[in-house]
Amino acid sequence: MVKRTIIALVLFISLIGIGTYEMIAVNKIITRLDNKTAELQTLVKENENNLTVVTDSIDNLKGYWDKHEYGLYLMFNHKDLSTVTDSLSKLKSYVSSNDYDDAITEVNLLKEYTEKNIPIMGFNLQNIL
Amino acid sequence: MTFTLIIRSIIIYLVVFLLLRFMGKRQLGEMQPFEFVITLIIADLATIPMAETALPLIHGIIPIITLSLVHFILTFLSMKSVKMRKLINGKPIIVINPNGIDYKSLERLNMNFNDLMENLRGCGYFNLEEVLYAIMQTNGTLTVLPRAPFAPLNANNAKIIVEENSLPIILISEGKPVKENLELAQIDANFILNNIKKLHLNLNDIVYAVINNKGCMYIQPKSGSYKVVETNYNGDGKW
Repeated sequence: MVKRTIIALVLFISLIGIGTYEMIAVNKIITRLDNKTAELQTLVKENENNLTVVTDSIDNLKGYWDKHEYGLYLMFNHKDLSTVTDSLSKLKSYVSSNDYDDAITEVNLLKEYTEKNIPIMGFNLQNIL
Repeated sequence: MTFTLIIRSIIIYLVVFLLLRFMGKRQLGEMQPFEFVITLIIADLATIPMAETALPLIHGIIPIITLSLVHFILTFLSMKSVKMRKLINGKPIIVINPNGIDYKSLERLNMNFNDLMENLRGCGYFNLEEVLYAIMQTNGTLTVLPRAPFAPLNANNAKIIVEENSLPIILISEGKPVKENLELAQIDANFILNNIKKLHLNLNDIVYAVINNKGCMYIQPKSGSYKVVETNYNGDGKW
């Protein structure tokens, strides 16, 4: 019984650990991604006629995403993660071709997506129900 | 994708296997209702991340671990508190008493007369007259106390003095001596070899050999009928 209790405690602590990591670290990554997307959204809106100036911001955002994407595979549905990757790739091509309409649509979609995913990771009644 | 599926399946299998070991040994028929529910859910949960590669493995493993912990807590509570035991496991219900079938109890159990008779026949009683008490246990098995004239005769009823039984210990299994048991019985390998030589057999010829504490050795060779050898071994009380 003592052995089982120890195993149960280890499992319990592991669960709490994973939950806490998810709530803090993953939430931080997604929040940061959301903030960077918001900045990009503003930049795209401000540079309607010359989108090439936002290329660096997209590269920066894509770099940030590439750095953290792998770790998120542990917690997130893989299809959801590829949505962000696809969206960033599309956005990059729209910006390089100076296609404002598609670029703003894509950046809005990305913003909507990151905004939606922050509460999904959290511990709240909405998720429990 | 094939290799991914193979590895994911192995991981999930190992997790479920280890957690079921952690949950303890119980045969399916002996499960309490809460254990049965948890086993069903775990079986279902395990298959989802196994086949759905887009889902992180952890999404399947976390609910399984959580259920194992819930199971552990419920088992712990039912061990420590009689009240909790009644609440979690329920309590045995008498379905046949000396006056006959208790229909109210049958209704409480959602059982009909045919279910009861089926269970009684499973216990070896084909006639209600033979049964004094029948109790439906919390794990869904029926136990029967027969009326005295129909109960199996034993030495106590017949006022006969018999020698106490002993647990036979396995000495050879599939041609190999079982070291742990040899130590337990304080028997050395030569003792076995000498006794099987008397039968013109080698270790490899033997499927199974046991000895009781009266020194009677039962040997089942791979071919031919079993042999019984009376040895000079006196292991009374050693195990």
